Amino acid sequence: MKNSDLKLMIRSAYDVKSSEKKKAFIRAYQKRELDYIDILFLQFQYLGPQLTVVFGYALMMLLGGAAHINAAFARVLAAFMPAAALFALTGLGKSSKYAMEEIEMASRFSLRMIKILRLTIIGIAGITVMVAASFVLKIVAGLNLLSAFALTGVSYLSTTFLCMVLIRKWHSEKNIYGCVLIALVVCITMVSGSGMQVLYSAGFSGMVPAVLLLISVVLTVSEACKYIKESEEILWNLC
Amino acid sequence: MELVLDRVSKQYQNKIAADRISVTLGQGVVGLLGANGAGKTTLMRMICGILKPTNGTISFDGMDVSEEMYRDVLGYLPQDFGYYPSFTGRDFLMYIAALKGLEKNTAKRKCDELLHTVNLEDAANKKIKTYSGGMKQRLGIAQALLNDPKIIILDEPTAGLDPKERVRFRNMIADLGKDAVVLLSTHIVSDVEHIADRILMMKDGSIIWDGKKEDIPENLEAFYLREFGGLDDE
Repeated sequence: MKNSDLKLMIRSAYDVKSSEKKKAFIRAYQKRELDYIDILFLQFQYLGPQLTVVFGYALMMLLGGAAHINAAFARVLAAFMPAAALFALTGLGKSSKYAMEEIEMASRFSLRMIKILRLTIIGIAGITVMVAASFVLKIVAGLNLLSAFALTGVSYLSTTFLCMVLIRKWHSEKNIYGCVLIALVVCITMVSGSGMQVLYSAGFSGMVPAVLLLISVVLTVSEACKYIKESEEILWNLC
Repeated sequence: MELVLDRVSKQYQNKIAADRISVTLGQGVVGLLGANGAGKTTLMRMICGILKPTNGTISFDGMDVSEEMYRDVLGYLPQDFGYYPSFTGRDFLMYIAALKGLEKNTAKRKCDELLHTVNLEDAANKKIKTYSGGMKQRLGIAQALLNDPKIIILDEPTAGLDPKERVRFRNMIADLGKDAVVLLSTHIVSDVEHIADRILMMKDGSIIWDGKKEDIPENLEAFYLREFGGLDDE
């Protein structure tokens, strides 16, 4: 027997045919678990109604700006920033409202993580609204971008901050009424002379908007941190 | 498989809800008996890692309960739980499965399996708000088992179940105890009597009895009532 024939015989004798459906088996065997991105999308789904309102508002701003609506209407739109903030915030209290907290806290992606993800989503929605409203104000009212951003940002963030303080301090389903009241007060303040028009006046330039915006951002972020930290204890405090 | 509680205390301002509790729980069903306000729920919440002890440590096979990995092996049924109003039974289980990190196909398979186990297959696609109390409780038990937990904490699992369902669940819990640590809190002495390998009794934040049913020299219910002042000594 020739050497080459022998090699061929050995190869065919030891040749292992590839297993049928091997790839499918390996794919099924490798257990894929969800990661934070999956949970982010999941939470996005559960915050749907709130986000639709907020993004719809942003879209309205952009379309209004593109159509060159008049300055008065733009100011009214900006004054309704608290309403957008209120809608977004209602998504944060979902777990508490529907008594899902305990089960969510004991899950792998705990309530703390859920809160962070919801805040992220709501934060993105809020920034979108603020940016859209700011551009509209810049185009229509001729404000510089910082002033326009301060105008909408202070209104949106002050509502967010005050409502979050209320939600943290007052653990009740009824706290939503308090939030509505806060939003209404901020809204009226912005529409009336004491808020919007003061900010909108000629004197509103330079450092003032930047400082106001910065204070609002710092207060809101610090309150968001407290909100995340407060995932336990107070909920079950007997006193 | 060992759940170790080492001098665990919980103080709420002027009330001590758990007082230096030290206990080691192994595989099997452990019944936790105690009157209202004895500290059972506080103890269970601390074991689940959702309430931090004021003092002491709780660990499972050396892993602290505050770790994410611990929650991977935990199944918890709270005493009171709710649901998002738009949820059907299946939606609820799928949502919890996602929070437990289960991939969609695995979650679907597991949900079907558990819906069958708790006898909710027919009502799986109905809104939870249409469920009876017993059905909601069964759904709660199903969600606790989604991740094949090694530690199962059940706070009053048989509350709201009719006698037939209660017997079914006793058997199911007894089965679970074969390869997991099951801690079961209840007011119903007969539930514990039938399935618990070990009994813990709590009073005023402390464990006043820890032992096997056989170690109790009399009827468990009579013993329990006497310990909690419901029965005269004579």
